[in-house]
Amino acid sequence: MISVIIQVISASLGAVGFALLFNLRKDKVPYVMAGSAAGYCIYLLLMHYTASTLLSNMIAAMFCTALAEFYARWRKAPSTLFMMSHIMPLVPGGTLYYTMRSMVWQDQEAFTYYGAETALAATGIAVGILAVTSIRYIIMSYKKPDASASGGR
Amino acid sequence: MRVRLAQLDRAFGYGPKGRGFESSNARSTGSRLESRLLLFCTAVPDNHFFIQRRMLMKPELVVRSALDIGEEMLISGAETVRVEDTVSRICRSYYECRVDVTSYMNAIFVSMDISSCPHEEGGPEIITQTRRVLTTSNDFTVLEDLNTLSRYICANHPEYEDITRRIADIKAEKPNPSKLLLGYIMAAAFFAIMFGGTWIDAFFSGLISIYIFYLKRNVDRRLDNQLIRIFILAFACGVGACILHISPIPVQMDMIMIGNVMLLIPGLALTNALRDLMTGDIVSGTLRLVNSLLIAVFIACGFVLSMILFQV
Repeated sequence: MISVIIQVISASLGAVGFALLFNLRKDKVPYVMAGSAAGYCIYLLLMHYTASTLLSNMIAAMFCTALAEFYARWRKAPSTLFMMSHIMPLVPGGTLYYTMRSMVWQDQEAFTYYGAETALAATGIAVGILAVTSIRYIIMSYKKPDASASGGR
Repeated sequence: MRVRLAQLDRAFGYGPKGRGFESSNARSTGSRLESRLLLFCTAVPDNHFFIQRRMLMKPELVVRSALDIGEEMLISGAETVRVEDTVSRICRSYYECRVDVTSYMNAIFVSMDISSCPHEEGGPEIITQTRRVLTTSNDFTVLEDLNTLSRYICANHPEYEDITRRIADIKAEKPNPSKLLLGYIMAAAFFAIMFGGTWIDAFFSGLISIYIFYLKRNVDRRLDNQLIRIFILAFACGVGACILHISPIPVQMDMIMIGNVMLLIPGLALTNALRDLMTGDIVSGTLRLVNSLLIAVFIACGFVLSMILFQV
């Protein structure tokens, strides 16, 4: 339990590190901290109960994006800022590293495993983000019929 | 005979070299009375105000300022859809006409057809401009300011000089280096813990990230090729981790490497690439996908080279 808490806290602080690295304004840092911690909690919970990389990444990314959209409306800033920082702990950096390492060391088995994990995680996050963005465009099209000028993308 | 105007601009990146334009202008020859449009204008009750407000800025300048903003957005890491949406919104806020915007990972193309709305007699009817972006980085402060600026432009229709001055102001505000450094240290240290490292791993991971930060600033100034830059940084990272591995300090080399590799690895770029592919921006998505995979391969090569050197 302690290790899980440490993992969540470090994930959230790591996301804050990335937000600073991307030069996010300091007044938005607390939101990133809360959002990324919550998103990573959801990811860990789903990972524990379903053990499906695709599903856990997708639901967690959906939550992160929805939260980012809410923050964007509330703080009057583009949602990308929050979203990219929120999904940072989910992003398959570690598995991508293992994939590349096993590729160079010609470890076929590990390469297949980590490569599939990376592809699944990235796909899950992308689908999760898209699902929420599409829902946003649908809601916007009800509010203002001509608002979604870019064709609901 | 009517010659349509095509204006091509090439932007030489975003940095000390500045921006140069190679413009080839073909002015439209011959003029024709747009009787239909004149009728339309006289039909509008306060047509004087209507024409004045709409004719404030030349269409070339509208497209150019929209592209200035779009280019800066692309440089500061906005997604393709956002860039396309912003550019077309700005253009359409001045001239209510057809605007086609295409944006890739490193280029923007805009074509504006103003033949259907009131415009300068004998002036160009179709304005096409393109921009090429050579460097990209993520700067959320600039992105936020540009978003506010584009909202301001759409609402107030300012002059070209005003827009240029505001963009220059946004670009002049450089990020605080100590803030970026803190970001590097925090990201490297805490991701090392998150992937299962100990506090000692986190400490040394943060230490190497300081070194990476200063090296990156130097390398970015001197080299244009992104892949070679990444390769050098990954090699430096690997050397640091290997030295620690050889030394008597009890560290896990993998964790230190992962902490630092999170700073370089294109995980976010990979995710964005898949997102672009799924939204239907096939070209942009493919470019990003290939780019992120190439970066990943170069990182791996840098690491392996350092491991071979140290016989780890």
